[in-house]
Amino acid sequence: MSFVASSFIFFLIIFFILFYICPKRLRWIVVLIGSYIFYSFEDIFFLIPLFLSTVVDYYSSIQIEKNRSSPKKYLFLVLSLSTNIGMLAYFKYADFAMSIFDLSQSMSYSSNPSGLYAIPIGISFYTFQTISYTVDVFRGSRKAERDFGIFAVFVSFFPQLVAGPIEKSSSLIPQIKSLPNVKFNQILYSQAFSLIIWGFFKKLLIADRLGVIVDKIYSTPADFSSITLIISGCLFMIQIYCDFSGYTLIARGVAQLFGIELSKNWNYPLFQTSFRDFWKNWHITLSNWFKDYIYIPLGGRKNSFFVWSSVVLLVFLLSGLWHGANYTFIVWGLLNAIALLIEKLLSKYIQLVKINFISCIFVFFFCGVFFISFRSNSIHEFVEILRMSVSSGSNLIQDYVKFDMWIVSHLVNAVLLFVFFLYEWTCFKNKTEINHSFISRPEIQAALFLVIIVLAEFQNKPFIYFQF
Amino acid sequence: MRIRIIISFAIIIISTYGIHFFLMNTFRNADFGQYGKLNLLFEKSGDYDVVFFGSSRAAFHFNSVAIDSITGMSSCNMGIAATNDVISLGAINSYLSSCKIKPKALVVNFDFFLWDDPSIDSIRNELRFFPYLHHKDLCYSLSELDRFFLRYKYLKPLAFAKFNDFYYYECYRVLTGKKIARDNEFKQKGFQKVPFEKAINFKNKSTADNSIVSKRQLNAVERIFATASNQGLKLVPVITPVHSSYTFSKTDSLMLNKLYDLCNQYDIDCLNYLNKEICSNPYNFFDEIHLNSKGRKIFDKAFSAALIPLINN
Repeated sequence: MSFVASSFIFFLIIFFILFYICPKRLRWIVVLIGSYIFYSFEDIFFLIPLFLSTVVDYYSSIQIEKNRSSPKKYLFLVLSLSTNIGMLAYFKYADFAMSIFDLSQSMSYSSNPSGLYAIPIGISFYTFQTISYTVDVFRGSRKAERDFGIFAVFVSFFPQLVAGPIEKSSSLIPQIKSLPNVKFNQILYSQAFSLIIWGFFKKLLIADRLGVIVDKIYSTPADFSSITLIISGCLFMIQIYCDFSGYTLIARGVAQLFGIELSKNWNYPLFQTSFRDFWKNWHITLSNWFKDYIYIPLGGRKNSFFVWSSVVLLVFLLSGLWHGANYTFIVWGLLNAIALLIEKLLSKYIQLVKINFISCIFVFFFCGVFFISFRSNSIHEFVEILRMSVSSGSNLIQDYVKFDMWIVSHLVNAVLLFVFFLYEWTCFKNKTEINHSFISRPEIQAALFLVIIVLAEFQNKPFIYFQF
Repeated sequence: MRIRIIISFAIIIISTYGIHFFLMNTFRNADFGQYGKLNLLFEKSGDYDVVFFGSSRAAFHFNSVAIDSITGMSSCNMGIAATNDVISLGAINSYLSSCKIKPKALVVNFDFFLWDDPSIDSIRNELRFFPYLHHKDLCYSLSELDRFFLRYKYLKPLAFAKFNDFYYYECYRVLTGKKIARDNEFKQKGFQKVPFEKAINFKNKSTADNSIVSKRQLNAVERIFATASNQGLKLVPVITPVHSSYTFSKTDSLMLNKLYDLCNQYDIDCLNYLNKEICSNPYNFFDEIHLNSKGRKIFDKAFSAALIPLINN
């Protein structure tokens, strides 16, 4: 079920009422049942890997704790990791792996577009969350959760189930345990709704409207001029940022309605002045996951440039692969890693000439160009677009005609983008949280709601990150 | 704080109703474009001798002006592109309930070969019907195609939320009376022009021989026959030309026989243009199932000649 589907509104209202009228000690059951219903809306078979992951990690973590001083703990760690990574590999990467070895044509299941073999939505998110939990128990940095119900809610909590944030157990489980103490009040309401409204604004008014333009460009890139092709990467970056961060805001707002504070997944990455800061503030929970479980264990903080750069390349390669089983994602990851390495090499010189505004534009532009790879369907298409970006003409008026859009639509897009950048820039500069800004006023929320209703196209366009 | 929240909700509810009624009234006053045609069908039905119903094959093939000049009667084309027989039934019921004088004949084009198309029972681009989403007859048809259609998909004040800029542009055009080239597609009295005249874009039919025929469509066809019979109207079932390269399946033949059985049951002649000379020339067609302007001229001439004796009998 998508947050932008009308069925979600009905689901949320019913779920909200049930949560607050049921006996307080049973709230976790309401949340668990609600989460499973929410997830099974897409496909009831998706519950199988979710439940499998829950059971295996619950059991493994307890066994790891029981056998802390015995080598058996390694066995249970392997069981947990192999289950989660195995599911990911089976559902997400099997086709890709076979295409590498050119076996896919002889395998019949790869052509099965739905049913059990369809990729369960959000599998990359909840498997990473459960892996982090088991590894934390293995390291001894947290205790294994003994209450299966609470643990099942931790894995399946519906606002963050399908597209994160990837929560740490130390943050989410104590909040689930304190669900009986949650009291709904006007402040909670206004803060939650400010997140939800701004999330919808970003998803429906920025991401979806830009998506129309981006889709047109990428459907026939050869028809467009070089400037438009280069800008398309930046537009896509804004689109995917607003799509995903919009989702996160809605998820945080919905979770807050039930008294749960989810992690901040984005910290204004578009205004950062270095590649390092860009990635520190883009999809923070995933970056932290890679930092905690790959980067640091492999010695990423050691001083040797060779070790550091090897680890960074590996992390970005894995990050690209996490986004999807396609060479385009791998190239996207590697391009970003190379940018980071160059930045690190030249850091002394950059500091001497660094002007924040220009650095911000520079980072924004190059990250946008890298996102062309992310958006392309194949490496061939990516290379073709790059080639056309330098060889095509630059007739913007002809491009405008090809969009076949009303001029007012472009003006509306420009105004919405201006409002979006102005507001986020103000929050970034003042270090203000969205749920503590002026959007938390009910009258502003009402005005934004009306603007969204009029200018958004409620056609249930899926969130881009659902596919990951 | 609580009062501010209540006032905000009140503003939202009042505003959404206000916007809804503004858009609704604007589109209902349109006298050109796609909403102009809908208004003609649902509210401003004239008194015509002959009215054409059906999908795009009706909308594009029956040139009311050309047919009138040959037959000497007055006709109107109420065919709606990208629809099916369930919606045609709703359109017929709506027209018959709003017209003052009943027409002499209802000409209905039946796309029997699409009744087994897996997508036939879907509602395509429902926002086209925005001003009449709560019209009794249309609603009935749309609800038959999608039982959730009225229950929650279209909450009255929020139906416009699905609009994209195109619809606001249409609203702007209706308010300012600004006509554009696209309006030429909707000629006088409902007739639509095929947007591309010369392209021949033949597609292969995707349905298999053992495909399932839609019961909803069959039921709607039977009700169209029954409605005409009950109201004492002459029904003229037509199968407009399809290019000879089109591959009919076994199911199609069964459906054609089903249509003929209905015609026999009600003692009605069916005008079938499938094996006529017009079907063998690809230059009469825009695609396999739609004529282009050249083909349409030939068809309208032949059809008009066949229609006169049918109506006079």
